[in-house]
Amino acid sequence: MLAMIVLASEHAHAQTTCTAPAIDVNAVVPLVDKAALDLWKQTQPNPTEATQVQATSTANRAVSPVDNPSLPGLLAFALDHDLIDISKQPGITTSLSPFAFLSAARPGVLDDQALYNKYAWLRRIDGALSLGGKGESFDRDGDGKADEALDAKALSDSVGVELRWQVLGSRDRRDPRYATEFAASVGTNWSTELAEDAWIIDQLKPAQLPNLCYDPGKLKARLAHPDLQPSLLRLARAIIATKDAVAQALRRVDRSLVVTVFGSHLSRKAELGPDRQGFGARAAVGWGPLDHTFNADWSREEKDARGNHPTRTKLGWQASTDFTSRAYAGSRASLFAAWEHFSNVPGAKHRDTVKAGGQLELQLGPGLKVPISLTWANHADLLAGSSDVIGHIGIGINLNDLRKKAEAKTVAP
Amino acid sequence: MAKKKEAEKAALTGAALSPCDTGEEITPAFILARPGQRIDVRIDICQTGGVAAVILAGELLLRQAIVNSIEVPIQAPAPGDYLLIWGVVPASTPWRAKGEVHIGPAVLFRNKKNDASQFPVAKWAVFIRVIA
Repeated sequence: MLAMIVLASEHAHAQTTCTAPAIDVNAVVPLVDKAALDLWKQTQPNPTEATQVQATSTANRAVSPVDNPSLPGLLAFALDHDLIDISKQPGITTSLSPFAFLSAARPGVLDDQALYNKYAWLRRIDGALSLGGKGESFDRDGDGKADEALDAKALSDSVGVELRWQVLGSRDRRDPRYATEFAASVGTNWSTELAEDAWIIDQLKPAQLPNLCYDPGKLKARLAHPDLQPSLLRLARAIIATKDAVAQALRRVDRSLVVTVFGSHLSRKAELGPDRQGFGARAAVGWGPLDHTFNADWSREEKDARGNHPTRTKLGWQASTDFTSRAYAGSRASLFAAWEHFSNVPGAKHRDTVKAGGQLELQLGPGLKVPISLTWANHADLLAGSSDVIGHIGIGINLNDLRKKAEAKTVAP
Repeated sequence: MAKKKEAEKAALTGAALSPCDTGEEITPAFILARPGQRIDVRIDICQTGGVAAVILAGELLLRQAIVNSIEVPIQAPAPGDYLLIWGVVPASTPWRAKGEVHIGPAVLFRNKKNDASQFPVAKWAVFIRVIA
């Protein structure tokens, strides 16, 4: 033990820390990487656009009758059906996610990957409880006209519960199932990148001092030396290859199959609206160039005055893709189809409604988008016009993007 | 076993500082070692997992998936100066990571990184100076 302490003490004194302005090799690595990427950018036709494109999210951004299957996304169902209302006071909505409670009580579970893995099953269960809030507009007095929605007087006047269970798959990038695949697809690129760093550092000896620190001036000159350019470009390619491998691995996770089922129940006082139950499922998967989302919803209200249960059934599908080519970066195309069946639902004009269509959002430049959409419905009154097919072409201008571009041009020399 | 459970409990409650946050940073120009001496290279990663690699004098010593931490024992080679370079690619953001080099109980190199660092890449380097 004494020998170990003596040895440790010897080493503690034997190491050398560089004195400014000299820098150690650990500080040299970022400079080498930056020099490599700067040189690589210079070799590209348009250096400002030659940056790494991150994996795109598969989240649905376009307004559509189809909802996303992720657990938070399921709140949309609850909102659609007035099960949970987070915007209208005096209501309260609270998460029933056991993992959220665990991580609030024990923050270490988020920090420690092994513990995070241990509780993977807890993250598959989620839910929400809503108390009080505003009721819904409906014909309360039987005069055939919808009356204004009333506020709950007490939290217990309206109680909504939704429970969700992710039965299949995961899109959590920390999920242990992806660890081996991530290591396999990224590991080789990563070790190549480190080896290229090491190779270049070996070429920097002319900038090195006897104590293995580096003279910043000599280092800068050495990194700019033409002899070093082929090695720097090789390193830049290795860095980009690692980033690409990471982006591809994450994209595979983001497009993997995930299926969630849920059930909900809303119990409230008669003046706030009828009680309602619902079940449903969401699925999402990336197939080929398209990201698909599937919905199935069923909800039933308590018996109305005629003794019938108003019931709604809905099936939906959406497929979308983001354009990855540089010329169309930021553009997006999507298709959707939805069928709804209404049984004994007051105010529903049709027993069955079907809508289908597509949207193309073309990004023509920074801040300038042209959305083109075409929608078909089996009843003309479901669309804004008098026909059962409607098309829209619009122009979207994001003034913030344009302002940023103008400012960038002003600042640039 | 009991020690592991205690560590797990401390991590859960947040009572212990995360391994990615502990210790003063030390980044020397080189680490002095004797031929054959054991040197431990360590990586800690928090808030995610990843893939780690360790290279000494151009030779790949390790490339594998990492959960929380990994320690790679290496043997100091014949006298001379050798570059040790190692790091981890995190599988998601946010992340925090720490690279260390130990000889026995002494920590001779320690550097922390996170996704908000000026150079947000968990890559570390130090020379090993081996003297007879």
